[in-house]
Amino acid sequence: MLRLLCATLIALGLGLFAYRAFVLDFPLTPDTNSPVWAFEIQADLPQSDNGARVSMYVPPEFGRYQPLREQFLSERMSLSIRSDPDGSRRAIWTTAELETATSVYYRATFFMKPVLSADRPQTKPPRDLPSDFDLVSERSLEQRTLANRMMADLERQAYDDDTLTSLLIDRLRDGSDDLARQLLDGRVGTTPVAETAAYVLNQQGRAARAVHGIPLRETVREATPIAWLELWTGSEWRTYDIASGDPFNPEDRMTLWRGDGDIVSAEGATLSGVRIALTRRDVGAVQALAQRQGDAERPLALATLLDLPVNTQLVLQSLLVIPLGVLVLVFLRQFVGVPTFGTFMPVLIALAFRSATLTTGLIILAIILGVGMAFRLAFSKMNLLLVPRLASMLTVIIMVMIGVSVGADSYALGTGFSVTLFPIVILTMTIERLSVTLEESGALDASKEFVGSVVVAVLSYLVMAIPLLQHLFFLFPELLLVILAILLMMGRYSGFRLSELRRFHELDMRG
Amino acid sequence: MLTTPWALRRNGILGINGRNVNYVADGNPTHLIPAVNDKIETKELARKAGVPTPELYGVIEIQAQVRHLDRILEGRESFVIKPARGAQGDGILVVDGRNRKGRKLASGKVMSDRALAHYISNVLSGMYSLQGQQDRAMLEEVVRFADVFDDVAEAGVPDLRIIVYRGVPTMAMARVPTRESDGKANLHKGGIGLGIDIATGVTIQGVYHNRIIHEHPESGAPLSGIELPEWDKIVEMSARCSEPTGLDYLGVDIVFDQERGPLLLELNARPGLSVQLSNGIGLETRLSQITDWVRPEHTLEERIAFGKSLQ
Ligand SMILES: Nc1ncnc2c1ncn2[C@@H]1O[C@H](COP(=O)(O)OP(=O)(O)O)[C@@H](O)[C@H]1O
Ligand SMILES: [Mg+2]
Repeated sequence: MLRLLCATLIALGLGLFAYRAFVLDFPLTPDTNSPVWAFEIQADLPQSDNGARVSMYVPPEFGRYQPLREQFLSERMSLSIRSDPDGSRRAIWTTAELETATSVYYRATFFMKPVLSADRPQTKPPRDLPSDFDLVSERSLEQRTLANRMMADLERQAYDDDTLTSLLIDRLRDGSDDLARQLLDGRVGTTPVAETAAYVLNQQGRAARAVHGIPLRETVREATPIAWLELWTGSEWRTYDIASGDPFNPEDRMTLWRGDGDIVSAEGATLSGVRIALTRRDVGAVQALAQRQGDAERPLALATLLDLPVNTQLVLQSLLVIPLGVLVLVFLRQFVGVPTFGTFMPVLIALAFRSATLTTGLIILAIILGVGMAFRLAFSKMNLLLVPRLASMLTVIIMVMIGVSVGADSYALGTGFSVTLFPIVILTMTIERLSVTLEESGALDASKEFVGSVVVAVLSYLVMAIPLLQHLFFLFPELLLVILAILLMMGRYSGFRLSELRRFHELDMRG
Repeated sequence: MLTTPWALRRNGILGINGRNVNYVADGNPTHLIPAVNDKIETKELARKAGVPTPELYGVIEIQAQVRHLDRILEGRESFVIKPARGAQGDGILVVDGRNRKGRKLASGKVMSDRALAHYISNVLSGMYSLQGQQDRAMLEEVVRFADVFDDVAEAGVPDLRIIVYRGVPTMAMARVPTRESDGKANLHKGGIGLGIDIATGVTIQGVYHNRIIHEHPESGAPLSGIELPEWDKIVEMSARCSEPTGLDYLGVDIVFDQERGPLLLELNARPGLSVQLSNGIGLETRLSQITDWVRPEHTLEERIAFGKSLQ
């Protein structure tokens, strides 16, 4: 029963941990770096007396790559952002007058790991399919006829949509025959081929569109957008590469926009330059993870405690390591046999140490216990009833703490140190226990238990303070299930304690 | 100075974890333990078992009853005040008469009536109880300890501790106070544990600060070979306690009164393990023999006989 439960807990905890660490790439150490793409589009505008309107395609919001941080920069131009139904986004800057030449920028960083989620532009169906008589683009009637002739040609050779599209792309790209040359109107490159292919397919009533983006390869100071083709199969958008003509997975390309058009266009002014730059950089993985929180589309598996408000995070950071401290305590008690005051008092003291350094923590503990014991001795001479006496002790301890804080502050010993984290009630009970043990069992027992408690407190503090463990438990709270399983198993440990190997050593002789 | 876990296991030693998991947690149902930890309820259990105990004069449950102390005592001047849920001898006050200043204590001091009232209120508020819960103070007959250990027990009054497992008396030890332990019988305060042969009632050897000894550390008197009186009665008393408590693993504390003979003082649901050192035998050896032998239909006499036959 217990074994089964523990095995389940461990399997669950480690399984979730492994999935999140190795599949989702959550950082295993606090200083892991995540590679990101730093991306920039810059458009330059000359001085002009008239107003200007600049429209720039920026990467779609829910594209394959998750933006970490985005900035839209300009000097005194007003900005608006539009989203198209196909997911394309345009940043539009306008101004009434351009006094000097200026530039507008889009800057963003993207995770290198693609995000997979529904409802991205690649999976959304087209809003409406183009009809036969739809003049989708401003191309001439002549072009339409050419397109229809080419399709008629190709449909005789192709046996399915894939080959048809491949043949179309191949023919347009090669530009070897008149028909293709006329359709492309003399332009070369992936962009006109993709756009024209989309146009030809649209004339047949098929939903197709050109997609523009940049390949994510090396660091590129000046990248030029390339294009590829997307064709709606009825359930998904199928992507075709222009260079090969075959379906492919555009995983290593960053999509910028869909449809025809240039990345930046301007009205009222002529653009004097457009530059696209792409660099690979590293950011702290935890920081990177924290910034993913803006994404409402993010799957639940990506949820972390980093999504919570910072204050809550800080509290949780302390809470999540408590079971670790308790584990140390249970180990020292069950396996070693260290005597301690109270059950959890050492861990709570250790927790208080966390808000200071170990030495200041120990000094403060010594001061509080020393002064507290003095008062306790005085109180016990006055024959007070138990509960009022405990309450008086509590008050005294609070006053000592205030004194310590004021003192620490004026000597500039670790400012911002919060004595308040010292568990007041626990300290009161500790003093009570200490003095009762002292009275009833003598100084030897009392000091044994006292030293035991301090040793346990210090050890569990040292374990709880390991940055790697703090990091792991914060990012992978599922590890608590493993701790729980270990604690449950320790609950049925019936072997000897280390202290008993000494206690019973004389019985060994006569075996 | 250190031994190994397997050596201990080979010798059949029972450790604290083993006791807690295999005997206390598995054998002693939690809901039955409070009755044993409460000395007033223990007296009721002892009455059912037909085992004699020091007489209970009365119980103080609320502070206001302290004023009626004399009425509760019916004029008796010597009595013991004891926290019902105390442990390790804490909070026990032996009163042995009175004078104009107040009550005379067995320790020789005199306690004013006010100090006594304060003392009782501390007992009631749980100062000496196991987890600091509210408690009751019991007023009990003073045991006039019989001198059964001769010169071994000069410093105070010893008591007997018998481990009973499933109604079978398993192992026995006397706890003897020393000057170091300040007259208290607790071993960790420096008392001596005297192993007693369960079959004959003759002492074997001593344990003192977890070390095996053969002479008294203060007087040098030999510790082995002392024969205890009324041993069969003691073994029977302890075996009787098992049934009404419903506990598998039980420690039975017995003292000798000059007139009434052996009396049950208290029961313990998780008795200590020093008995092994004082007997020079591991408990597990005997407990496992009992586990193999014992059947529900065994009578008290059969269980006692089996206990006495244990090696
Ligand atoms: N009725 C009594 N008369 C005299 N001494 C007593 C009496 N009851 C207890 N004591 C003394 O107090 C000690 C501890 O008593 P006990 O009932 O075993 O309480 P605890 O649970 O605290 O061990 C005994 O060993 C004995 O010395
Ligand atoms: Mg006792």
